[in-house]
Amino acid sequence: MHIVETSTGKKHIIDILPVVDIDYKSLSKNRYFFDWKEEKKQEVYKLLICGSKEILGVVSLERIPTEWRVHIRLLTVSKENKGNEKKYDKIAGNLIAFVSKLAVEEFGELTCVSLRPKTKIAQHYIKKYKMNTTGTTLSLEVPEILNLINQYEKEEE
Amino acid sequence: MKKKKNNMVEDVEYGIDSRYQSLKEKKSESVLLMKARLNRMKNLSKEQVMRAKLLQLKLKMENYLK
Repeated sequence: MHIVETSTGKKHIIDILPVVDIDYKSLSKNRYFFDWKEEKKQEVYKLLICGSKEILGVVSLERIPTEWRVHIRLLTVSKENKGNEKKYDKIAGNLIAFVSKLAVEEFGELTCVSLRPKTKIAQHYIKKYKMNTTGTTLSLEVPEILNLINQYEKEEE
Repeated sequence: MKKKKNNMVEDVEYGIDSRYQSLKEKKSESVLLMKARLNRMKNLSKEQVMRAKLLQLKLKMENYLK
């Protein structure tokens, strides 16, 4: 999987790794928008360019095996990667594709990844990731989840 | 109008806070979601189910080999 440097179009191969205790020192609210220390007891992953130590995106999730579901609790990109002036593109998409892979690996054809963006931005996620809507919850299931994973893996080639 | 749309996309990009505020909220949304999912699952073709199972196998094998 890779992200794209917006100024040059250059692709950078990424790693998505579990967040460890020492990472929370650099995960400030100022740069990563949320208090990530609150997520310490959750399953949390960071996105980095291979060989770099700079965290570009973070996601925390909850596995709900009784519902064959993985719920995205928090997801963010670093401050430099927000909006039109962002340095790298596809950080959020790669994080969602990564969570999707975890979900498919665990739950197969029954799988589901869910999240609840604010109403005003839900349409963006529905359109971009082909998510289903149920009340305030958006979800990715088979077949859309397979297409999303393939899309982000194919772009690797 | 265009500026407003750009600002909205900018807001979208910074992230999502999907945490449930209470157990009650989590449970009620889970019930709704499961009901909708079960309905959607009925429409899955054999090929789509097979594709999902194959991808699951591939991911498990990749994880095992890591």
